[in-house]
Amino acid sequence: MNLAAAVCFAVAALSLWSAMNFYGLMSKTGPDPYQVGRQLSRYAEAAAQAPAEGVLGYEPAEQKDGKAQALFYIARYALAPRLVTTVPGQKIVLKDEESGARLEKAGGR
Amino acid sequence: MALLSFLRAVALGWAVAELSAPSANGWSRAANAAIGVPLGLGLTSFLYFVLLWLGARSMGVFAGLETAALLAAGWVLWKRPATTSVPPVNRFRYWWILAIAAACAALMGIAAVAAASEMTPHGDWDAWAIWNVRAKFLAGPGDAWRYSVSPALTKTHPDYPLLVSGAVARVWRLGGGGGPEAAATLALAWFASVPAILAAGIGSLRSVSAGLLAVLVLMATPSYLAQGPSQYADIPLSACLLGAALCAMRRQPALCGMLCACAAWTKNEGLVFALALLAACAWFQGVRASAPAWAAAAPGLAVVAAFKLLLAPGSEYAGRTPDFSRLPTVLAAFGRELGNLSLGDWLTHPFLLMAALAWGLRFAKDGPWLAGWKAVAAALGAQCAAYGTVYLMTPSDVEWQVGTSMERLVAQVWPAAVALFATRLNVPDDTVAASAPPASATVERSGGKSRRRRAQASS
Repeated sequence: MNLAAAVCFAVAALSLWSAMNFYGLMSKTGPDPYQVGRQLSRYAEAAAQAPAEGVLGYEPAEQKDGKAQALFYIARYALAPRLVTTVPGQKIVLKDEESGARLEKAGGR
Repeated sequence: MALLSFLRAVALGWAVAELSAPSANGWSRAANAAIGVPLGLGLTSFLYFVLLWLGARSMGVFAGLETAALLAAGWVLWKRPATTSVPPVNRFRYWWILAIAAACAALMGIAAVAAASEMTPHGDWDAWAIWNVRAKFLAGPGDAWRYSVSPALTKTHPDYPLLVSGAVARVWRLGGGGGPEAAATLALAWFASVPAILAAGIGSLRSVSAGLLAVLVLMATPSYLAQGPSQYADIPLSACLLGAALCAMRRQPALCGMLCACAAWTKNEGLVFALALLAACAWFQGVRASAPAWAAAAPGLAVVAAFKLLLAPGSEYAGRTPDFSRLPTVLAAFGRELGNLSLGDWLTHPFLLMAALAWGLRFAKDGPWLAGWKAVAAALGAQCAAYGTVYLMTPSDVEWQVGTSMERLVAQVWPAAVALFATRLNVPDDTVAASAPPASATVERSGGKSRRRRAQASS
């Protein structure tokens, strides 16, 4: 066996070692940090009540931090194919509060 | 039904690949089959979006057109005259050791990505904030698909092309459900296609063992593999870029052109690569030789152009000029990212493996692939320059921008870069003592009934 073959086998061994390390790393992957699956149920009732299509406004409950931003995008994902937007002036608004999310007609409660 | 619609797309991709680049042996047939994944999902995504735009809403129209195209392609393949079979180069006595190692490494990578996908079935942030939410719009009733390009999608890039979202929406609509499993399965299919394209593509271009070595280098890049479960568009783009690059080097211009169009339909970065590769092919391989690539890419590029000009809102980069004071930040981040390809394990760093291979095998000076190789190298260089320019122009904080995207940009081009490296390397078959004489050419009928008459099996 010459140098070239030895190099090929060394590369094969190191690649296998790397792949095993990667498998170990990924098998320790924790659950979704944003809990998207659980959060979708938070918007299930609003999704059931909302019209089949159309644009919905959005009012967040919390200050503008990372969690509030994630909730907004998850709300948009949950209510699609309706378009949830922070652009003001929509007739129906999704109010995202600590107690849960609910739909409201603009100006009403 | 969802599985059926996925398989129909892949079969269509495979048939189109076989029609535009007839396979000469088992390895090029495997390459066409692997390319069938990004090509089939791309072509059906194009079709789905164009039909939506034209006002077609019936699932019967979508499924009928796809099935008709598949049957027509299958019939042409069946009736195609026999092609000359050229066995792949395979004279490395210990190629089976590399095959076992590459298969194990690839299976471990795919299994790891599948396991991580189970933990995050909706993907990472951009999957549910950008790609899959746009897929839900595209799969929605009436004119809901237009929300996928609404300017109200602030900070989530409504100007991005729609290959991934369209492919997911298509499977949801044709499969009759909108669960996260379909998006995760498509992401895994795109991911798994990359080592297959690399092994079979390099295997048919240079030698079987060279293709296996390329897979081994790719699977020693955990920062690339870690993108697998994200359900972002970067892995699909990397599959299209790799396929287009290999087709350019294998002198399969029509297939190269179609994959360029798919890349342009995947992300804005893909559009840059597509134009760069088509231009580079014209430069290095000649205008006449590359004309089929331009012709094959033209319909897809026309759809992308129409999408950009008539539907998509303006880009956030419009009217901005590069800020060159950011250059040190960008270059430092690029260097850090290349250093972090192995996620901190220096012993298995892919650059170390590549350096060892270059030392042991040396580089080939010439070959029929050289003009294509130069074209791909030029296109990848242009792509990296475009990445840098975008960072210099970004309206966001550049530190944040490089911190959240550099890893994905490197992932987009990494498989094509590995293919470029492996193509230029001397093949082990010529460097290591051969164990069997070259196999002679045989005649083989392509298509449904394969009648193999191999004169002798390669070792």
